[in-house]
Amino acid sequence: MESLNFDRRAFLQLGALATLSFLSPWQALAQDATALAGASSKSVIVLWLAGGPSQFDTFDPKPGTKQGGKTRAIKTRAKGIELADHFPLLAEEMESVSLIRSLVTPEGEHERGTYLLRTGYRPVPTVVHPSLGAVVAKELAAKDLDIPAHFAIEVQNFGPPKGGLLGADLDAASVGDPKGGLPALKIERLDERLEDRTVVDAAFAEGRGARVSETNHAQLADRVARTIRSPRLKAFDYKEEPASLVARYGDSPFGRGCLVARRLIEQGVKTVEVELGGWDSHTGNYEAHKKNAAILDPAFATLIKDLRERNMLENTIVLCLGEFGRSPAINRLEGRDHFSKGFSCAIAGGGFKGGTVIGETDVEGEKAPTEPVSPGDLFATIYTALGIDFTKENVSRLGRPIAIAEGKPVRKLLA
Amino acid sequence: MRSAAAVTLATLVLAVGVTTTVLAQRPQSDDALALTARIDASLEKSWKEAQVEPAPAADELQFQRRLWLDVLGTLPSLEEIRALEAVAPERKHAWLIDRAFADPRFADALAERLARIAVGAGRKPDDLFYRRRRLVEWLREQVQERRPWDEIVRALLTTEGFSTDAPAVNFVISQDADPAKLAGRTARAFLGVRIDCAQCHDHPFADWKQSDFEGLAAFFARTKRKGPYIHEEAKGDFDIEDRKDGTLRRVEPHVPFDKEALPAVDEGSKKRPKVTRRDALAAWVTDSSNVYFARAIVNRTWAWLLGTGFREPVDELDQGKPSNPELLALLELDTREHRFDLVRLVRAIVSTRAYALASKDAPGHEEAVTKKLAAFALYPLKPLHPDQLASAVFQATSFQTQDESRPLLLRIARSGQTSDFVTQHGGDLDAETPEDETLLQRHSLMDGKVMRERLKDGPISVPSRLVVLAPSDRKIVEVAYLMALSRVPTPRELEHFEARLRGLGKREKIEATQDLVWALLNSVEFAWNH
Repeated sequence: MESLNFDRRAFLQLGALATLSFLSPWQALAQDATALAGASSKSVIVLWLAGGPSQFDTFDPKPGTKQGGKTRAIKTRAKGIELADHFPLLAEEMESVSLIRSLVTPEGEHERGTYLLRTGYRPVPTVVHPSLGAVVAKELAAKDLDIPAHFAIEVQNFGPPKGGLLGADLDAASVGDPKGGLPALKIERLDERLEDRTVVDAAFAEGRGARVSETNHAQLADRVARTIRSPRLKAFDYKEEPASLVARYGDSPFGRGCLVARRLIEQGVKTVEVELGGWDSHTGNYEAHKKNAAILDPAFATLIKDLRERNMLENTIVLCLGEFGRSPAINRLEGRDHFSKGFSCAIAGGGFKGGTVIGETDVEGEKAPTEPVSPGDLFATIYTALGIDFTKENVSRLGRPIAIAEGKPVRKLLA
Repeated sequence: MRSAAAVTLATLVLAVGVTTTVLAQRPQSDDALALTARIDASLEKSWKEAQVEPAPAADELQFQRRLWLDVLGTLPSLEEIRALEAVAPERKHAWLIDRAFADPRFADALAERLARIAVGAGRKPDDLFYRRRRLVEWLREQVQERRPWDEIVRALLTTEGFSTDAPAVNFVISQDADPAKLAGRTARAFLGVRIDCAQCHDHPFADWKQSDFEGLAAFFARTKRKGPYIHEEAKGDFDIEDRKDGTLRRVEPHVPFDKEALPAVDEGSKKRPKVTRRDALAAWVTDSSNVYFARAIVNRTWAWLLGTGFREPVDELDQGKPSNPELLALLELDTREHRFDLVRLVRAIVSTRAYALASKDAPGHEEAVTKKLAAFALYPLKPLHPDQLASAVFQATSFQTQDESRPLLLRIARSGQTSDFVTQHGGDLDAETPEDETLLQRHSLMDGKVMRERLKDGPISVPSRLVVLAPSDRKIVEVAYLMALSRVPTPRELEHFEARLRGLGKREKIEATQDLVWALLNSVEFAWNH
């Protein structure tokens, strides 16, 4: 929790107090979250696989071929769908999960690819497109939610997802490994200090007028005050959960992040991105994927199951993807290089059908996949499932109208 | 020793007569003043033509804060403010400029600016091979020796060796010695054009063709990296895979314009050619006939000091029209004629009337703000970069000047904390203007580790010392304002904070003073240069 400067000692006191109550105020809050004025019941959790995972060693195995490498395939609960053998737990949940095996993008470089798969748009010099999370937070969050509606957990590559032309206020609030639980954020004499602050700002605004209020610092200071006082931040105190459940998510920053993501959604947060890095396997591809899958598989599978058991899955989209896939050819260092012309993502919940597969890749990777899906199509599908009109235009600083997404929804995926 | 130190502090707080003596340095070049006069004349003419009334001049304390943040990277200390108070009014302005340019922190601040241009601002952390910090040190030495910008750029583009012994190679390492990245970065950083858009296709708006980009990249085809070591091979070709059919295509080095300025590459079979591909490219980039080279550095320097470039963004010089073509041309010409002497350029700009204008306007004049800002007739509000903000937090909570005279251990501790702070305030640090503040950044100013450390009660804590040393509540408020905002409080502010302090016991008064300093450090005014 370094990035928020949370003081653990004070938080522990808070946690101790909460357990004294017979009916945790936490539970009451959770029921309350969806009742927040103007809030949609729908939310998104993104499991971001930074570096670009290999489709052949995750969601699109090709056993017994030169391109498929050492990875084998296993059957899943969903008839006819196979996964790489690194994912035995996810295989059990596949009736709830669908796969797109035909993502095609023009970006094969990490930063540009990350931008594209976070926003649905290719990077251009003149505008910063809003990330999926920022759009969802803006469109679906309750106006009076007293914590950020957009969180990023353990995001290390290229910074947390941005609000872009929707404003920095919609940037994801970025936190590290939630290990240790929630932070205490008490500031001494905060009301007095905030009042003192307005006196200083008033003096500076003389003769400078709107230029001072446009800086947004005052609003941010008020939002910080509301956030740090919000009991909803107890979402980070994942140790309130049964120890067995915590263990099933996995003893990893990513596993804890996924559990905290669920708890944040219960509190009215609309979108959480949890990052798992280490997929950029230019060397030793098989071992890298085996190791990462051992973290991803329990966390992803437990998240789906946990959401289902809490009746949250039908309202919560879980999207698992990276910035691109990896080459069919295995290089001399047993690695796979970047590849963006036919790779996979997994998607579940929130109005998506389970057990469906879109697209088929050619085993040599030479031919384009069938039913190709662009990032714009993927985003249009997600926004449709969320009830967001993706053709709605936001206006850039230079006055250019930009649609929330440019693409065609993949109707076959929607329930 | 103890009592001596106490006397000095008390003196600073009370401001009784005695000040540090600093000998004013003569301007290094009267000729820079001639450039200042030409800029003033050009701007005054454009104000008249556009019928804008320039804002009044900023007062000297506010000018000191502005200049210090820009060219020394931090706030003026209480010591330095007291020193200014002792200078005769008509000499204050020149005295401040002389003093700033004689300060060793100037070379640090300019080196950091140049590093930001060359390799970005530290989003890519140092590792075993990449040594950004060594590069900044090297740039500082170049600034101290007053090495011209074209020579610095040639060294960045052509140096061979280890990243520790030959720090200029960190430019190549920062781009992973990748020809495409190097071509893109070279064009953006030193020529102010985003030719890298032409990597995949012809540039949508500008004249750049994909072949232009590939031709530039081919100059780096023989630049090889082994860990921290960069060297140039005598032979080697640049073959790229065609995006459509996957076949290999050989690209010869070529430049998109000014072809006559490109020296011939020495293609002899010798181990070390006289003119390598990189040498040729560096000569072309920095040739005096290459208009983009002078324009890029002049435009960036102006954007740094006056808040907005003549062209924005600063790396899209090839698009649109400049806001003041006459002045831009004047600065370009002068910079070329004076061998890209950046110290001279910076000094000439901060000596102008435009740089010394107030950032606020007289009551009743606010309606023309946009027009005035566009004409540089009103000083803008410039957000502090994370490194400036961190230094400002430290300086505002220290009685002494935080500079090279501080003990090494303290400086190291501070630089560790500063970099934590800078990391938190991440964002895209490459840009001349930092991005909008976020919730978490504001939180770290309100309650971050650094803030807690700097405010908490203790023997050297500023709030605590102020309560002990200041003879009145009024003095506590005044000194806290000078330290944080380089100004005295308005009557309304004084009234508010005096009322907060009145009649409190020592403990409560220390708390109320902590609140005062907290409020000042969290004000809009503190986070901006203005």
